[in-house]
Amino acid sequence: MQDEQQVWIDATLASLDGLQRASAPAGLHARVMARIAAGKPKRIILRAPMVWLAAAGFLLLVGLNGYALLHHHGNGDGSLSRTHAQPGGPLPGNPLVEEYFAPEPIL
Amino acid sequence: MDEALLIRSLKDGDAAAFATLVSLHANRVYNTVLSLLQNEADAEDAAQETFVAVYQAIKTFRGEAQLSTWIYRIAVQKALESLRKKNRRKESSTGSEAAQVEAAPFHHPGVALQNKERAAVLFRAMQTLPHNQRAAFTLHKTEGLSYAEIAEVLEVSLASVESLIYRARQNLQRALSQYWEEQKR
Repeated sequence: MQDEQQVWIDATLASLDGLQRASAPAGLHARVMARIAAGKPKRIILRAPMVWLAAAGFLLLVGLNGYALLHHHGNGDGSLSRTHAQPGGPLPGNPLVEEYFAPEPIL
Repeated sequence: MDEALLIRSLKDGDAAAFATLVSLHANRVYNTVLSLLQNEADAEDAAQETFVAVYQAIKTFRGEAQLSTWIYRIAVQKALESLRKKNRRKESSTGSEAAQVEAAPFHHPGVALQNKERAAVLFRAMQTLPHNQRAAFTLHKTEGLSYAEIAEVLEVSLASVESLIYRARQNLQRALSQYWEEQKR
């Protein structure tokens, strides 16, 4: 019984002897090239008009924010109201400016 | 095409050279990954990944080993990565860490007709081997590589390959004995 088993095991271990190489499926190269092309990151080309548009948008944003800072002030209750800037001095009623121009405490 | 010239052309990004490389090594790569993965769809995927990796890494190829050795190395790595991923997916669904064995028997297309059934049993037993033993045994049996060539592919010593294949045979003996006992019950 043991001999029969060992004969079978030996024959099984030898069953790959003389094995012929499996052939790769047709079209392998094409599929490899497709994978390579799919894996390449897309190049983003910046055109001049796009750059100018982005720069203009940025300047507009800065301008609007600057306008908002100059022409809005606090009412003491946390709300904001419009006021005109006083020429030649710090803007009264502007919480941002008052914080920096607050009078020094008397010691 | 002379190998040195082929490598130079590949490094220059020559598309025709890459097509030549694929045609020269396609069967070698596919047979290796198929024998390791025992699944045609997985093998095709691994073969494609191997050649993509070759394409991307050819500029770093220093020529210390033969081109075929280097390609075998990548093919074995890709196949083992695929096996690890598959085992992780099966582990998470069964909760078991035991070696995952494919349910369906694998019939290698290159096996002689009279050996088909025994070969299917052997391939099933090979699934239970640790990956390094499986790689060494597969390269020896299905690609006919010598121990020295396997040592270069796996980047281990000749003594390590001898040990890996000896242990693989011992493990396969045990697995086949078990199979014999189960069939006789």
